[in-house]
Amino acid sequence: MTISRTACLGAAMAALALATSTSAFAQSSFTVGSKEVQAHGSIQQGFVFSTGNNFLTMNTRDGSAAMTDGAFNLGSQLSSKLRVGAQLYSRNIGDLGNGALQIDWAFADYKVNSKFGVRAGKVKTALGLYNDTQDMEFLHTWALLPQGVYPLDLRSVTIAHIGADAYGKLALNTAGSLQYTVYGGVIQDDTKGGYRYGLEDQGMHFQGTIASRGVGFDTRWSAPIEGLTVGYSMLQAKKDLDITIPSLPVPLHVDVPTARVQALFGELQRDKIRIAAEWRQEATKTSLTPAIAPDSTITARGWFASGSYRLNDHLELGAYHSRHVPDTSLSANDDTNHIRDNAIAARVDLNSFWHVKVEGHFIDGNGNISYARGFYLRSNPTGFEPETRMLVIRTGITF
Amino acid sequence: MKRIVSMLLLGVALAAAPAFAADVQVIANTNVSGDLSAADVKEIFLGAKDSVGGTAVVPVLASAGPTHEAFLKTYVGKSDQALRNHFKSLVFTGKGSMPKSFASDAEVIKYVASTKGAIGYVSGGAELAGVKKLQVK
Repeated sequence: MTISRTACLGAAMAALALATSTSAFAQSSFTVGSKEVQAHGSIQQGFVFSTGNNFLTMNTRDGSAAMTDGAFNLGSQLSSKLRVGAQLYSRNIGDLGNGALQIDWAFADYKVNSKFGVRAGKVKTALGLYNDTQDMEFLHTWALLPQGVYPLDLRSVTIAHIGADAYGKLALNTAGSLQYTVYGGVIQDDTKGGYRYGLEDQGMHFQGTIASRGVGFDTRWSAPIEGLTVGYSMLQAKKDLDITIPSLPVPLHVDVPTARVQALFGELQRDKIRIAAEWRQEATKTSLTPAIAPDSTITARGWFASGSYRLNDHLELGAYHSRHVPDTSLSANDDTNHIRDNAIAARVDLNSFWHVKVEGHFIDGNGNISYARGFYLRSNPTGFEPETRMLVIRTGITF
Repeated sequence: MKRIVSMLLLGVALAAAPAFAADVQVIANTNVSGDLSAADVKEIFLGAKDSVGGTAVVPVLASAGPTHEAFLKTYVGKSDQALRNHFKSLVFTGKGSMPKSFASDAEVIKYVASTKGAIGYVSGGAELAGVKKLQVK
């Protein structure tokens, strides 16, 4: 699917959204047999302008509108315990995505009771505060989630798995409640994602697909304090890939026996205020064949702290500080070993299904090209500047 | 003195609470038996609880208005925007459906009366034809 088709799909969904009820809980539905099928969709369009560096493979120093994405889903509650559904997703972010249509999720969900249920299919992965909702720009105050923890270009590394989940919620009486999810499955290769793009940036070429599978769990404690949630997640993945590099006459097999992602997070939502924070650590062990370098374990860390305040039904203001260190064994003061981002945002809800966001970013550092995140050589062929200032405007429609 | 202040504060709290509850009647289809706790109501209207006493239940919302605002404030603890976002997060991850919503008490009552397991809310003065009023403990 090309960019223009993504835009056409978005225009069609926008027309449908405008034609449906303007109720806050608008829905489109139809009946198949005796079962109601609900249809929902979203389309987002962004514009980014930066100084210093080009960002996220877009030509942002000249201003870029190459930031379009959208989703469409169908779902049906077949019985009181069984639910099925699927969602298609498409995005074009600079050189990433290219408007390709993909199955975002598609699964059957059988809920035995509130304490236990199972899902099987392609499922969004519960990891941290926003991993499974990171594409749902309409849910968040921000035009860009804190990139130190939720990099837009590396979304596909953790976004979903094809496998199964067990989940449930345990009441803890006066101590609140505990939600849990335990899962395992295959993590699909994204041939148009930032992980491949970053390695190709350094002259490496992939042979075949990246085989990746993982297991993990997520726990969230809803405290007896109104609006407070605290949680911990872990994803342990394993990857295999084959690449060619210019200096090596034979292909290089890269074995990643463990890539462990941990997240510790908390959020307080009370009346008009929302405060959130998350700490993330990614420890990746790598082994090469032939052994052109010794086995290594690289640990990256990131975190953010954010706050937002809703002034009224139409206006919300917010700010966050986000940090990422690609290699904690090196100095975090080096511009090539950190990305620090201060962001301020205003979200305007024009009505219940259309919003606009205006956001400023003050970014220091550009990370490490060996583990690229946001800043790529191809987009910045003359080298990186130590600072980036960026304006992001993003609008979206949901129904 | 401390005890008097505590009693006064308790009196103020008790005086304030019924003001919201009196504006709202929680109603259900006649197949829903028993009364609900406030925690049950909250869980149902967050899509986290789908049965009561073995009976499958579904929430029904008012789309806007003072009754809707009073119900959310009293029982759910979320604003309309926050509740809308909550259900959108369920819908767009495949983990739930958007609840039905209606613009008037009459439409809510009509739907609840004709739908097994439906639980909704209407204004304090609404005539409840064909539905039962639930006592929220």
